[in-house]
Amino acid sequence: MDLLGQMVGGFAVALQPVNIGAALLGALVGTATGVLPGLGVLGAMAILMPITIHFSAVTGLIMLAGIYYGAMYGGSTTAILLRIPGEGGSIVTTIDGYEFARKGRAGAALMICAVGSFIAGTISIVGLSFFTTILADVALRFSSPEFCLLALLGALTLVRITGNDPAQNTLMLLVGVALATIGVDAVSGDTRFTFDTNFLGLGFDLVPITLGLYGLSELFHLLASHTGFPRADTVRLRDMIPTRSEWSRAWPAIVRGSGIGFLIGLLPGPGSLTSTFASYGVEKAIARTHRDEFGKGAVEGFAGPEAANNAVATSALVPVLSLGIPFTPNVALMLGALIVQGIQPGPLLLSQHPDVVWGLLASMYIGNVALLALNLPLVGLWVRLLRVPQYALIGFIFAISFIGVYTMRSSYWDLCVLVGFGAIGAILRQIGFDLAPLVLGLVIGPIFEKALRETLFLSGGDLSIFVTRPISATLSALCVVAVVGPTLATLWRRRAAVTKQV
Amino acid sequence: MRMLLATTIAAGLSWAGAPALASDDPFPTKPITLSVNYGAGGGSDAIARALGRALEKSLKQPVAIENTAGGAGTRGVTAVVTAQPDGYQIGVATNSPMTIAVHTVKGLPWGDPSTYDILGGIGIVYNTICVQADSPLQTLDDVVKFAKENPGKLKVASIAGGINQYTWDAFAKKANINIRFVPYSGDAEGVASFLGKNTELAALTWPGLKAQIEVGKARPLAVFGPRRMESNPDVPTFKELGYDVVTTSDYVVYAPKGIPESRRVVLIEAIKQSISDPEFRRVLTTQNIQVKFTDGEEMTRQFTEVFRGTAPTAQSGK
Repeated sequence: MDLLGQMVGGFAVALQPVNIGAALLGALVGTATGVLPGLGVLGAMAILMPITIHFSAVTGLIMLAGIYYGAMYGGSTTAILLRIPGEGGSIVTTIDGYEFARKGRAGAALMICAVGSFIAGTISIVGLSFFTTILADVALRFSSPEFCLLALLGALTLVRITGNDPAQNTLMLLVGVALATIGVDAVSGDTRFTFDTNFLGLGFDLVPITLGLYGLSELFHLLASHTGFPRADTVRLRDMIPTRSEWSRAWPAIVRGSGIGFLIGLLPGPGSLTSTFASYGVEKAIARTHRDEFGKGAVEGFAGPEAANNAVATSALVPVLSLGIPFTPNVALMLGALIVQGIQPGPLLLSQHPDVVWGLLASMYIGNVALLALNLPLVGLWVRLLRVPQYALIGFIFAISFIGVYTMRSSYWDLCVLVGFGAIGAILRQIGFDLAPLVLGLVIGPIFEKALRETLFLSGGDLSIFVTRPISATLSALCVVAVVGPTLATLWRRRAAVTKQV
Repeated sequence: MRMLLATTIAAGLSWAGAPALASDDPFPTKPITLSVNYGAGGGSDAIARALGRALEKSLKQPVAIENTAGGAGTRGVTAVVTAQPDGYQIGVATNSPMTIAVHTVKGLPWGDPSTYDILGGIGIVYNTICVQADSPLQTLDDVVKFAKENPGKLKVASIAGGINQYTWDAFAKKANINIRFVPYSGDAEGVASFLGKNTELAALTWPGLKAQIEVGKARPLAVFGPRRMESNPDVPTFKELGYDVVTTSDYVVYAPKGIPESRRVVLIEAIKQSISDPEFRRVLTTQNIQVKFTDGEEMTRQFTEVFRGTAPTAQSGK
């Protein structure tokens, strides 16, 4: 009852006209940010942050949160239509979402994503409203040893996510891990493998690499093969609405993706990206009848990950609202917005400023409904984008990719990375390598390395820490299963086949 | 002839008037860039933005905030120090990159504090050491005693490379104790590990631990400042307890060397006025940063001292 009372109080705050306006503006800016590749959520939030100072703390926070979760809605658009991830969280969507669109179902894909994002957002907000304190305590049980094993487990299972040979995928994964070691070492702050050059000191940022590997390489491919982006010759309503069978495959994936995203959002690290890989891996592992479709346009392959990254955007607020600890830069920026207003985020936030916390939560319910209402009509508009003549579209994408990458940290080096990886991506695809493991390695490598080194500092170099902590022990066991399991299964199948023959 | 005379007089007049009349060089006439050496959203960023707004009030020109993160905070300093010394590019930073990371990051186009121009200090932060709320170790003496009896058994969560490690190393050396130093990459991760009881101690800045101290999840044993904090007068200093380690983190506003003196004066005056701006004070005090204007010369002296003091430590620590 008390909880209900607080929720009602929250809605009283969120329904004030200025706060509804802030939620809508944030959601709108966020969607635009997500749609435009290169323009990061963080950048948009940083640009708008000074504006929030002219409003009350809760209004500012509502606006910033709106940008954050709004971007997760928009990020899938270009991933599906043009194979360009609008945000890191939509890299995985480029795999099956784009293939799905090529079948002429671009509108349906976008609609599934919009509805999926809405469901994931709502599930996450409910979780956030009711279990914040408990979840924060659970999250604290995960520390460096657990992160290290989670990263390892993720890598071991996800090298099997695409149809390719796991050995080939592992190779790509390790290339990604190796690339990530170049630049400033996150633990000691020293520079590594830079050959005393300034540009290598900057390291390889994820955005130019993924934009190159996926976006530019697709453009090169289209130019070389004289084909084009998926055409949308008709934009009839019928093509926008997913079929019954598409829905029935999508919604369980959305629910699972929401759960995965919610849990991953509680932990430090680039949650939106890792959650999408995890969701994709799970969907592929449990798929029975449609397994062959993965990589060729499986509904589950983008419905799950899109839901996951939306759930992360919400659950990442748990550690910051209950403990005052921001695990991602986006959330740190929201925390900064509170500090500017003279509010110290921390464990006392909920009791000292209930209007801020509950107002924010209530506004997120409203924001999610608004985003759905905003995005469904936009689907038709986005699909029409594909009717733009190819020569104009391709030129436009080149331009926007370069601008997006350059504005990120004003570095010519990043532009070289963009073009270089565009070429590398085109070659790798030509000879049949899968690109997703490389990106995965780039993301997971630094998490693994940092967590491993922290763990060894913590234990004084003793590796037994990985089996003496209960959660670590479980994760270690799962890692062993992930390595040995598939081999045993193959052996078993062979033996069964042999006995059958006999 | 008359023409020549007029020109000569005009030149003579302007020569005579130049040092005295600031209106000859109206400054600032265009927006000023305030560079911060960490990304958007952190504590430094909040301070830079608050300072920017306060400076706008007295300079009557927009102040744009530029986040140049990376290189352990040194990239932002490089951006400022290598800019045109025309007063339109200034920066805000703590002493961590300027006195500590400067020794480890290679190829910087700047070095000791004489290679840039500190306009003034605006805020001071103390480091502290905390134990868990339910720790049996009640005082700093308990910790030192336990650590001496059980070398290598206690663990401390901190951050590598910066003022945090420098301060901790100095204390551990003075106390002659062996406590395992666990470096995290930021306050958030260090505090999370400490709250999850992975380490018994946390050695971080007071603002980093403030929220946890207030709810009683972290118990401060002492602060490394020169005197007790006004907000928490019951927490002793290390110096009082017999460990002569005094360090502070200072937020300074700095510029490339060689700004015209008249513009320098305008900037310093604007910084001084910002210090008394209520909104600016609120942003800093919320983070438990002590707001105080310190003379640029005094700041340069302090920085030079830490710069020299850390040179060998930072190198052997590699």
